[in-house]
Amino acid sequence: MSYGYTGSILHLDLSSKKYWIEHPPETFYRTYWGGRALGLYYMLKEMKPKTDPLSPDNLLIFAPSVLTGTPAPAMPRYTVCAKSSLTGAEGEAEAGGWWGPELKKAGLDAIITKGASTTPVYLWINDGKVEIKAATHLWGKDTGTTQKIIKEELADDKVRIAQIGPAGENLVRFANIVNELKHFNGRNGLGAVMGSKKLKAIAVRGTKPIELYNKERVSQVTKEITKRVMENPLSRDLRELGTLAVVRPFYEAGCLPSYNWTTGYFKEGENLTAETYNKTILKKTIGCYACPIRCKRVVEINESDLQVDPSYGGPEYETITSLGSSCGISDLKYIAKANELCNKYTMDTISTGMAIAFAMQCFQEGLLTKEDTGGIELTFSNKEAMLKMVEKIAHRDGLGDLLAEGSYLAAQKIGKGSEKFIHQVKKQEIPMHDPRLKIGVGLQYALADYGADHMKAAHDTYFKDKDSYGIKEMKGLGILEPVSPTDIGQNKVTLFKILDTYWSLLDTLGVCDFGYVPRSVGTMEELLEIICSTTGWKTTWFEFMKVGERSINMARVFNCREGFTTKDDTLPEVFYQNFKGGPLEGKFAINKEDFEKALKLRYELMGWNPDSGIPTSAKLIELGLDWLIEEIG
Amino acid sequence: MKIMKISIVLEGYLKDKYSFSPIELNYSKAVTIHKILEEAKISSADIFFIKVEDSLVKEDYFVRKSCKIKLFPIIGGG
Ligand code: SF4
Repeated sequence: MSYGYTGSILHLDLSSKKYWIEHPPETFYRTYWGGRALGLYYMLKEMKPKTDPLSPDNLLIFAPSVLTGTPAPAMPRYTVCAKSSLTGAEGEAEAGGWWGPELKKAGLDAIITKGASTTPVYLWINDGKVEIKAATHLWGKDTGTTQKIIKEELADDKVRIAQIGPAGENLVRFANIVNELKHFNGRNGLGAVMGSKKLKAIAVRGTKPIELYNKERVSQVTKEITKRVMENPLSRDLRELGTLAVVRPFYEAGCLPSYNWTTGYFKEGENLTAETYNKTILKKTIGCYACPIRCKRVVEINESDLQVDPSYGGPEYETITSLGSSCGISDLKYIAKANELCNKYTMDTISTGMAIAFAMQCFQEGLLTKEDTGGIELTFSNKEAMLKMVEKIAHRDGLGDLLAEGSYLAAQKIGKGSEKFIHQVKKQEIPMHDPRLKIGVGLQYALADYGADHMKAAHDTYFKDKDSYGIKEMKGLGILEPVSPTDIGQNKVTLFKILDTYWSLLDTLGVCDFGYVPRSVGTMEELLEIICSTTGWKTTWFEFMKVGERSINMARVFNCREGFTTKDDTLPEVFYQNFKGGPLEGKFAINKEDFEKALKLRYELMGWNPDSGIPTSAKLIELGLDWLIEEIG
Repeated sequence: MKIMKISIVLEGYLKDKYSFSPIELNYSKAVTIHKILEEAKISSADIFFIKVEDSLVKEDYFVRKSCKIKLFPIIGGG
């Protein structure tokens, strides 16, 4: 009897429309668990190096984990993996919501798709029964309309739908995938890969229970965590202020990314704070499957000249800053509208905002003119222009067609020195946390296999003091000493090796980072308890950390195979310069030499060659990945 | 020296954790922020930024006149 997993993985060839079910043994699940590790396993086994991400040979994998759907707090997530259309590297993104648990209840642990259909299709999985249905009538439709039509067509309102909108169909390189209109596999352009396969949606309905080894214990731990949600200041803050809680400290300190990273000082920052958001546009907060934290925002605007539909959720911190202050915009209502459009069309809001901010700076510097923009006055702070550009990118119209390639490729095309206005790692636009004040975040930006990402480890601030929450709660992983957020010495490097591994584990298990320490209420002991009670496996943190490390090394090997080297583990130049404007003026440039030294040490700590960054054979053998030794020559 | 009135304004989750209304403290001589935090029983572990009027300062900063100190909590990404 298997607990936590169903034992069935669906393989689907969209070219031939053939499918089959694989039943891997228990050892497979205990080695790869799900999420990014499971996805990477198939990508490494079945995809040839140098595959064109938008060709039928790319795989597109939907992978919950052995825990997904467990009725414990913050375990709703599933990963989508493919070779990224934006970066050309390993691509992955996790989404919460309800789709992952529904797939498990439908009797599947993962879906591996390959090939491409010649006409648009959608997949209908009904309690394990698989059907490929025509979607020509859905092609070109936004996500809200598509969801409505599919639910009507299947005559079931409880169907959960993961899908792409027009941006995915138009192969916008940062198109994403959405479930329930508001939960995203956000970054890396996985929606474009789905579009290239002409796969509009995957609708799922499942009624089978997920078998748990010790249901009573899972429910007991769940109750204990739930009871503490509103007592714990961090989880309570997530409910009350959400991810936007950082806006006020960032803008008052002068590190809110603004005007395409030219300054951290945004005079109108007050307009973007969580407090203003709650007073003006927030309708309610909601949660993902079985999660008591309920941190997700839903906004509604009903004005004669501007409406925002609450079905599409509400903007989070990253969106507020990328489509807001980065573009010089402080009108929350317009940002909420841009967020709604991105959600209807399925575009990553960070990359969309940063592509527009880049174009605004090019316009300001005279590298783009009104002739290029189709008559749009593309100046910073022009909120109407920002909205128009969102539309243009999604539909690849005019300048939007160029920006839909991502800011890196757009800058290559524009030339004339515009390259200095892009801020990216491995061609992915940088998220909205300034690594000059949290250097560990910078290390993670540089090292992330899938391009700059702010969710690749906890941030430095949780470990700054001996009484910090991270230090108090994570001693079990060997985190004993505090390190200053701006320190880049060996203690910071070792701390972030541990945090990267822990986070990689969470992404493998489909556990939301906002549910457990150091970001929130659930403890490491409770997490272990839930895992053991779900699976029946007697396990320890030793095994978990190996799981996290295994995923990291698989991703690294995938990228080495694609030709990525240590030269790709970089930070944008802006972070090697001091802040400009505001209270931080003239301070905090990262020392490049120190940063490079830190990266080198990190390679060594990982068991990678310090010069090439390639995992050593010994490391791969230790992790049971000896089958990858040939891949790295 | 005249009595200095120090008003501590807590932002974000610090309000939930420590006090919803500003904390008022009086001093008769210069005092470090570190000492003020200690007396207000606010843990440095919770503080990311400290602002005295319009300037960012560290815990070793000496307060020499009546002022408003804003404390901003540590919070991570998302
Ligand atoms: S903490 Fe928030 S994002 Fe995470 S699972 Fe719960 S509701 Fe979803």
